[in-house]
Amino acid sequence: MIKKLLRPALISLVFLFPSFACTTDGTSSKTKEDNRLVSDASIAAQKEQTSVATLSNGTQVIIRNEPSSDLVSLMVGWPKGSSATPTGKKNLGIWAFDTLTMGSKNYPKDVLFALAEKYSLNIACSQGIDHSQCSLGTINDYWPQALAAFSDVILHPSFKPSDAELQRKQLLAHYESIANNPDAFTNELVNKCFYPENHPYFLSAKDSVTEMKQLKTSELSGFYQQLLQTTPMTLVVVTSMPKEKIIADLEKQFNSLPKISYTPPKIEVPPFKDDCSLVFEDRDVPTAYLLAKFSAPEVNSPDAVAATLLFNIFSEELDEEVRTKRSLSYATYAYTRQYRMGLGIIYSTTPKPEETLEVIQQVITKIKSTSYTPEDLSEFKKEFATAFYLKQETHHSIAAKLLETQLYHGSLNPFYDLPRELDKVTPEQIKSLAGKYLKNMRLGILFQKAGYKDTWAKKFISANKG
Amino acid sequence: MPLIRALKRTVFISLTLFGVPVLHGENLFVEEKLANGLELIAFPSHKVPLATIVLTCKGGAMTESPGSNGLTHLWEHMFFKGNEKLPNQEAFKKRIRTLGITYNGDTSAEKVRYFFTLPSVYLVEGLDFMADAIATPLIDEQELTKERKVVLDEWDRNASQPEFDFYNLQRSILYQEQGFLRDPLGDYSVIAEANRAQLMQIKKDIFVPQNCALIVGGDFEYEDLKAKAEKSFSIWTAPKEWKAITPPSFPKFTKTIDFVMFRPHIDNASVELTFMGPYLKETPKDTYIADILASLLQHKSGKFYRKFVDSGLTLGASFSYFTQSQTGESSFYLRATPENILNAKKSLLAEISAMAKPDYFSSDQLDDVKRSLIIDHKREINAPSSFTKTLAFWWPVTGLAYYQGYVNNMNQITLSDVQDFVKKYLINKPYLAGLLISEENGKKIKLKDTSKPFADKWLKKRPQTQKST
Repeated sequence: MIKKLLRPALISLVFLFPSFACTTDGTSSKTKEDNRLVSDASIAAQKEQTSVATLSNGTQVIIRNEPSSDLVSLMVGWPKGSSATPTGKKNLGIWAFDTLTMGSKNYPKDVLFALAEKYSLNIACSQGIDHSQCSLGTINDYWPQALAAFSDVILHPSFKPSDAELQRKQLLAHYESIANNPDAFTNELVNKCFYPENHPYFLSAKDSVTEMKQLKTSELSGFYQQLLQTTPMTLVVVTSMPKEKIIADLEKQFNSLPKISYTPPKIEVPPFKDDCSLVFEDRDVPTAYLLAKFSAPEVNSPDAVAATLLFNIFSEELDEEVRTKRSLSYATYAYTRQYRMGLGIIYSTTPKPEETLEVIQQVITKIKSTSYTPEDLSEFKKEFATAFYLKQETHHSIAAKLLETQLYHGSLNPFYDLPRELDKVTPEQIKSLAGKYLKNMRLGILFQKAGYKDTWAKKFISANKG
Repeated sequence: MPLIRALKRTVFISLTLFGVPVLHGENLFVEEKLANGLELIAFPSHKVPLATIVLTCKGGAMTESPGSNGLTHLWEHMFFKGNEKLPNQEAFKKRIRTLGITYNGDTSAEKVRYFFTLPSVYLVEGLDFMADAIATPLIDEQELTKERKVVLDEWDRNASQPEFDFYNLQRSILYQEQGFLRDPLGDYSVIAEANRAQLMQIKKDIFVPQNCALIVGGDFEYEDLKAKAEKSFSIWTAPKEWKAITPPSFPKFTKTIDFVMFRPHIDNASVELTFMGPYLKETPKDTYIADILASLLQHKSGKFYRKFVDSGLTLGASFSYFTQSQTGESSFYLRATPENILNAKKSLLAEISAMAKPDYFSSDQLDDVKRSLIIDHKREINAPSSFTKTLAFWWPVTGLAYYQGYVNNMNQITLSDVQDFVKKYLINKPYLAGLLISEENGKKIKLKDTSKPFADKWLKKRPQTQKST
């Protein structure tokens, strides 16, 4: 069978595109004459399948009815991630959530592992930049046993020092391995320039190694309980079971938590600094790794939807000019990450970095000056229809998307209404947003020194200063 | 439906494990042959209004020669670069956008897949699109010159990974002169000099209807699909007197080889211990047991996990087995701190002997593994797009009969079978042990790089003249 290997599957499989680039965001009704591939009726049906309830302690519960399968996906999320943890303790939450699944008060590790194996439960927890979450995957028949164990893990984790030490070693090994991977390491290089010291989003692998060695296992429980008691929890369940049953079950498990309200802090956009916009690292690799990072609309920005389309167009144009027409690269693309602070990213590997940066520059100039026709835009929008539905194939992917949307927006509409909002984006908006956001790039380059010159890298940065 | 060879095969019968959900006669997919010899496999699922179209063929590194190693992968790239309907890649990509397609392709040792997911309203257009690409590729010389550079950059990205030489060397030691048959990425120089005639020969050998299957999953009705597929793919004709390439057998791996390789940018250390296990062509039943063993060793309540992971001895330990038709690499993998790696390796060698003892695994653990297979299968079919690609993995490698019988055959495996497997393939059998570590850490634990004689013999050097900016 195809196995998840611990070792990297290096060259057993080779792709047309890097795996990142093969997916796009995005939208189908039943008539191709209707330019809108996601129909109003389809959106309405999805909304109809979704209900929002509140437990007695104010905890929000989102239930999406999926009658096609007896699989169940439950996700629990909190609107706090590593960005909410002070510098010097950034890894505390990451470590705590990694350790969460190592046993609880009523389910010591051995019991929990045995139960998970007996019922084939998927239990996982993690902390991201803005959010923290845990997930449970099971089937209807095992729901009672699975929910009891899962809620005990959430409410009464044991944080046994020996287990926490194991997780510490794993995290350390993860951070130490980042320097090996050219992609991850180039990202580290850029981050050094992109983020000011103490920025909530800045988490360097090198600093994390130092930090992880200093944190104490005794800090975990206090940190986690503080989060649990001061941060509202949101629950999402995707299931074929009746919603009344789900709500009653969740009420029983989670009503002991206090009623909480929380407003996440605003994340400051890092200012561009002339004296730190370029980082080069000499490494004997046969292809150059280029990564440019810049500010883009944050998740709640009025520009967010149009920016998603802008980056899709930008990426397509880059691929066309750099790869298709000039064969300078196997992988060149752009994308945006919309967190509480937005990021724009241009990525390329190429044996000819100078020439490639020149072409990327030409594409940036073209996007800023081109007025796409509504027909062109309509074509670009179609890819979103496919991705919109791809996100709704599995119970887990639906739950994850609904949780993320609710935590960022306090509403599910931005997800369900995305196809209609995309319909509204105009060519003028795309041009305007390109001028507004495609600038002030911080550039990281990993390559052999003999193939690198400061002059052409600085020329690219200078051309995009604004 | 008289033409349907094996309509709606029953995939899984009911199982009677403790509390196990029962899958009664689930009709998952339909399989039949089109007029041109192309297999059509359909997996209708109306969950979302999408369709996934995969063309999968029996080919890859295993059908190459030293002089064509890497060219099936290059052909895969050329598939997307123009055909009689769409003259170049720009036109191809415009059509991709018009149809809202997300796409990719992959090539491995034993299969090549091209896959599109698109709104199901465009199913006919998607089928035509796939048929034109496979039946009438231009393989234009100018486009080929350009695409070679793209593929070479892909090669260089792989070569930039610190483990690149380590894995290449392992493959070469295991398979010697025939290592290329397991290397889809191929030979840099061969790719750099590839010409149209070589690629057209690959088309004649591999990309013919009799050697491929069209697998379609998603939102459609089968009878409708069948008519559309028949029409779209009628342009792809079957060459007369075509014969499938029979890959040569690999030399037996008869002697244990141990090597240490120093490479920069390696944190910690890893050991890979590879045995030659079962493979479909020779010992199909044993391939099921290998999968059961791999799952048992992942069991967090099991002895292996406790000893190697839970104890902190390693940062990760696993046994992996990848079902293939031509070979059966069965590998233990350990990742540990430099100070623990040698002890972990020594412990692993001792542990393998213990795995044949009657109390190493329990019957409860075996039942857990079998139950999880059924639930994993539910999860698998819950994602029509990826399940379609999964079928497109099994068809060329094992045939779908193997996949259809998978859960039932797994259910027949006993602990005694597992013990016999360990004795037959692992205990006192020759293995290849590679240890990868940085020079600095290696010297700290008094290791020497012993890979040079093997590397000098087997590792191909990338031509330096082309390493330029």
